[in-house]
Amino acid sequence: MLARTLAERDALRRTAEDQREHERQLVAHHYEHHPEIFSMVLGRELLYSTGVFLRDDEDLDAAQSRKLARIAAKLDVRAGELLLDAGCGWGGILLHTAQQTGGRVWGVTLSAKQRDVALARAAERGVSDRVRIDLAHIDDLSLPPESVDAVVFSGSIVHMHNREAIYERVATALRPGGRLLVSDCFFPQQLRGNREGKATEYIFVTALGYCRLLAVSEELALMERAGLDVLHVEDLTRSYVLTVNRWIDNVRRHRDRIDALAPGFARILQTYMTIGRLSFHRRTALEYMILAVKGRPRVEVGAWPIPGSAA
Amino acid sequence: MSSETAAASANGSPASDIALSVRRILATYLERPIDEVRLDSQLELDLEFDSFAMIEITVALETELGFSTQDVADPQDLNLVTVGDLVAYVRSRLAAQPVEEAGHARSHAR
Repeated sequence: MLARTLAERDALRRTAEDQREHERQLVAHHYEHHPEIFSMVLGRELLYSTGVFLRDDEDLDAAQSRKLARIAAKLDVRAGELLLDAGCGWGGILLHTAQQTGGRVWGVTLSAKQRDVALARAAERGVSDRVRIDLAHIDDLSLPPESVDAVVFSGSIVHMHNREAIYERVATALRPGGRLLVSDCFFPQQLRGNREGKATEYIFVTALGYCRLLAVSEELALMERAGLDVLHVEDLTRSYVLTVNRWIDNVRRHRDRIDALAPGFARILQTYMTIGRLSFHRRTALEYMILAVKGRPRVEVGAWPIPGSAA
Repeated sequence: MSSETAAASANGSPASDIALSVRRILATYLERPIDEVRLDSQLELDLEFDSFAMIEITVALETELGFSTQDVADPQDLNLVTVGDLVAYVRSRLAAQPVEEAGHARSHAR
């Protein structure tokens, strides 16, 4: 695959090991900012990826609660099963899964602060006994074959350059019938917008450390090559515009407090989010949620409700 | 009430101060002497503003002057040609600001 951005071109010059260490240091930096900042900006669920909006005037927490419910339905974790969340952030998906399903959850993050917050929230909700969180890069994990029932990457796979190897390890680690869910940003396959300009560099490097966006067709191809079958893909680009709008409004509302905790960070957040918002609005970047399965799926996706289908 | 008067009352500073603040913020961003950022300077032709610069500068203006703007990625989106146009736009946004929100306005434009 050809490099699309300057950040990606730099990554291609590194060995896989060097790239892993690069991600460990640079990606963690953003998320190591004070958790209070993210709780002001991202809302109650502390989810740093798109919500699912049905109407333009909904509030962020409603859209994120719907997203959690939708992720839960797709991951279909059942009592006793194990979910791995690679890039678990402050634990939003993990804790929701542990509470709602009786499953066991295993999170991985590069940020010690995120891990601390996620573990504290697990204790508050009384699910600590089924929550494990490691401070690690996904490459560090020991993933025995057929040891995991579901794997989720929510807003995290873009931070991982070597996706081909990651999907192969995930496919091996999943049990038969196991699910992989990815919710993230993609470039359109067709070249739209300037991907080598200062704005892209600002988001991918200055604000977030390292990002690599593929076309969704390329992401799907990597999953397929690893032996997984694609079950469901949905576009959430419009929801992401609305989500980022609310994040930006929250940065505005809490600018003084954010600046007190981390001088200059409010401006970085608002600038990168504004670029992102415009990109998704113009569809020079796209947001999708992808569900893939190893072997025979346990659910019948054809039975999922689609507006306009016969009752 | 004219937008100029409203802006002045909204953030407690005379309208001419807004022009000076905007020019100062632009000069700092561009790393140029303020004399080179005149009200008739053209954003794209004279100051070489591209879409990224426009986003950065609107965020800087919001931060320093305490108002909310819509996303401005392209000066053409708002028909902004000169620095003077940008000053007028900032005034109109300050005037549109609810009074309690404007209370957060920061007078210490650098």
